Amino acid sequence: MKKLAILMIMMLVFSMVCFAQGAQEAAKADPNAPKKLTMMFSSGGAGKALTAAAEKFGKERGVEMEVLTFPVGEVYEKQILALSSKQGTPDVISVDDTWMPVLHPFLEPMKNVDPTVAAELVPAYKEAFALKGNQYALPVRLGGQAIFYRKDILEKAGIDPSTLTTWEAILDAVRKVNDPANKVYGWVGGYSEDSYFNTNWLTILSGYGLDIMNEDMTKFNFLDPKAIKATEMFVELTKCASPSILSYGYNEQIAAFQDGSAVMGIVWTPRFQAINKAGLPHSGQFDVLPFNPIGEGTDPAKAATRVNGWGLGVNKYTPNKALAEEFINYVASFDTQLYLAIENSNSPVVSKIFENADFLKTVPVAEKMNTAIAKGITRPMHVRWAEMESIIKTNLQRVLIGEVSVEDGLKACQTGCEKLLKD
Amino acid sequence: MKRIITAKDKYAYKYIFPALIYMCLVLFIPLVFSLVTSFFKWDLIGDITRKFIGLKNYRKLLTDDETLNSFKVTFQFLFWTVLLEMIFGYLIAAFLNRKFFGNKVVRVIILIPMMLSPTIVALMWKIIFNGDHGIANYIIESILGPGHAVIWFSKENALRSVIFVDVWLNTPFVALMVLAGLQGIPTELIEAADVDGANLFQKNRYIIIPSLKQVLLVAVIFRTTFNLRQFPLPWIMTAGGPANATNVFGIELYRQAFSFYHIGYSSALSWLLIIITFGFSVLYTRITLRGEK
Amino acid sequence: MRKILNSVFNFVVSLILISIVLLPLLWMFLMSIKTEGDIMAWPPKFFFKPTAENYYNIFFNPANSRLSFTHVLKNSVIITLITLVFSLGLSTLAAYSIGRLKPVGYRGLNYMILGLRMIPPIAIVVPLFIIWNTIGLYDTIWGLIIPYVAINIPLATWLLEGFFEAIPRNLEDAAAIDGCTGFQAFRIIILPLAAPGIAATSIFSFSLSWNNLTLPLPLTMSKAATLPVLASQVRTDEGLLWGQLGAYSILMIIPMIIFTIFSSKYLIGGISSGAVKE
Repeated sequence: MKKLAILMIMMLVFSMVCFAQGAQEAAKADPNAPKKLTMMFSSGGAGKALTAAAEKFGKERGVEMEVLTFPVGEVYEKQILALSSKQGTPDVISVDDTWMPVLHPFLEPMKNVDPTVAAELVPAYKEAFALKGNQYALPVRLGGQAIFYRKDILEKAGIDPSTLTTWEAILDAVRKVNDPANKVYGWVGGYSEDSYFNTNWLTILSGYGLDIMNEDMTKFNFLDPKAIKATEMFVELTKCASPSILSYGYNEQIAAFQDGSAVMGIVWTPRFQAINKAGLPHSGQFDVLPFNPIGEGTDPAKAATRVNGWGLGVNKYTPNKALAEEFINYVASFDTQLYLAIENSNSPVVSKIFENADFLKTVPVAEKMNTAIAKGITRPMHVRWAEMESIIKTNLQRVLIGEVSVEDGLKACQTGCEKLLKD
Repeated sequence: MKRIITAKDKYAYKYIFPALIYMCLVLFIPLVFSLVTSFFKWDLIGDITRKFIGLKNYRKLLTDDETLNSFKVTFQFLFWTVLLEMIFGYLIAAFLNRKFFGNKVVRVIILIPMMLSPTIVALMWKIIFNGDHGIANYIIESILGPGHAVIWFSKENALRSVIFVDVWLNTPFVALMVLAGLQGIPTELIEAADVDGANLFQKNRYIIIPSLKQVLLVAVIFRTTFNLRQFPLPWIMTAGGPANATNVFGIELYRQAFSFYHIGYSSALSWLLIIITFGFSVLYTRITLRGEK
Repeated sequence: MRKILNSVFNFVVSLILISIVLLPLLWMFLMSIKTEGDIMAWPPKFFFKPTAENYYNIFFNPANSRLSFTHVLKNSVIITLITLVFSLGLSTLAAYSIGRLKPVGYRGLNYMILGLRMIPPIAIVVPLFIIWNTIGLYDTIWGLIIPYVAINIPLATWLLEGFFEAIPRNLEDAAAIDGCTGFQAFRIIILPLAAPGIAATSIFSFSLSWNNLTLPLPLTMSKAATLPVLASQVRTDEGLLWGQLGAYSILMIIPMIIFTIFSSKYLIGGISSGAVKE
């Protein structure tokens, strides 16, 4: 009796499986099936912006659009699983700039980049998604690391923001406004996640005119005296942050600005609107330094900040390559970028938008942010960058809690990363 | 020891086979897959060629500093959480077994933490334990005055905080098991002991705990199995930090599998975890059944 | 006098236990009815004008039109209930056998069942993803139910064994004398006595399936997404949606509480004395 019931259940399951299989085959075979594009994007402003653009595109061209949003890590996971098993969905691939070395083998080099679109893109952003002569993706939402600060607090302390052109000047200002007794800390950042920790440190490092790896990505510069100076600056700045700073991720950094417990910090520019939003306790009190700080004595031509953001590429295995490229061109075009920038607080990738009057009305600090990240470079583009981030974070956190000295911490980073390259 | 299979045994097997067959069907392929890949170098990204490398993955993980550190952290975490959960679970169950007004309500309420998603619980306590603007420190400073705020996620405290949250989350499970077990003890046994004049301690030691042996064993094995691979709590609350103070094995496993996509290496880590978990279970069972027929 | 002390003790301990459990959740609930400005206020606000905007946003402003709350809730409920039925069904049988009938080699079978569970879910994600895509179970409800049941069976079996074993020994023999077949004895006599254990196990099993995030994330896209996947969307580019997080916590726990109240009816009551006359 029991056996019979179980057998029946198994047959039921088996038939459902076959049915599901059959349904999928049917969809693939039908050439008259309505065209559809699937994509995933990061939850929040980026997701909203892209969904809005996709819906417009879909309506205009009569294409069904499926846009799903998930947190960044999950987008990455789902895309890698799909691409490494040669799935055609999602058709359009979201590419974070540091994912380029990892994802480009799965992307179809774009053959039909609209020349007007290409001409209007900020060159550095376009470069970020090109490799070995091929354009693998077009940027759609980029920003950079700029210094956000509380106007009112600096004013009260008598500090003129335009004098804070060097990291040393910023350190002095941060020390001056640091008020732990009232839980207002001079400095804040995202220190718990690998990527945010590294972005913080990398921004200071490039302010001293140095990058982690050399040009052809064979050697590391952790033991360079500039690296030591930059790391010491990083340590000093962190001393003026909350004692719990090492457990703060980017969410806590944003919240710290919003609830008033932080005065200055390195923040990704698209986050400005969220921090300064109306209805929050300190709305309207935030501003951006319109330049990238340099280490004292560094040649400004060699100093830079970091730019990072999102691009869209075409899945190598999708049957809808032409349509996907069309969509990507659409999102990167001036009109769409302007629409997204104004309606959805997207961070535009087209330079002319920063002179557009309507845009500047909605985001008054846009010009400052634009100049702040004008000299920006991307983060290191190495296939094993994620593992390097982990090594750097672990060792530099030890430096921050005082377990090891700056030199020893950097030495450990050097040995760890070199071992990684040899693996 | 009987070796011949009697008709009675065959009858008993009929009950077991459906479950066994189902599990074998579904889990067999993934299990074999992960065992086989643990002997390969296989990444989903970067250099995606698969190479057979024998025991190299296992050798690597036994010599890697961070992995060894994660063992240390995991065992510390395991020891404290299981110990506290078993003790508190037992006490709470004993308390809930008493008859008093509102007993049923308390029973349902005490089960609530078990029903929550660990991810949400981790975020909740992270918010509450926020060093600067968390409600916990606010209350502490209101009572004890400023300057007494606790840095819940400092290097010294991070593991303790994670242990605390795990105990909050999982003690209801132990309490639930023990309570159901206590309900199963025939009341005549207790009454007989009362008649004989046994006190609370003696009753516990000679009657209650032995009857609960099976249930306690299961609870301990479960908590150990789950906490050896605990991931969401430390990941969300501290991302393994600061400076790897809470870098438990579950985090190492997740990092290798879904941050770096080293499938071969993470399969080896998984199998190491399986072996360790199995070892613990055998150990517990031996200890408990020692002295049984 | 003793009675009063007893009552006070009961009351105080109950209060402590309830506070430890409910106060953190109360804070989450308060957060779910605050505006963002109030959430960020310092010192923290205990008195504020409540808003339903967080709940409203979850129900009516989903980030994706394909992941509406009702759709995902429906998925979660269906998947969890079906998983419960299948896994409890198969496990109760197996646990009865291993716990009471104890055939030859039952220890080995026991360890095998447990061993199959010790594999961490992360290890089966990649092979499952590949296989599911090949046979078309990706992003389907059955694609989740099948591994959920497989994960639940060892746990449920192990949990139930203890309860079956604790039932007094000679009940089946007494039933046989009265003319019951083996299965009838199981169904009519043993099963009801194991009800507390089954209820306890079902709560645990329900909770595991309801809150599981490791499997649905890679194995679903939009059609079979479950509540934990939807809730994870509060982590956005611009920061955590604190208010929505509070709302999701409350929303996700309500069905579980309903289920628990329902099954805790069976948790009460001990084994009826008198079933076996010593």
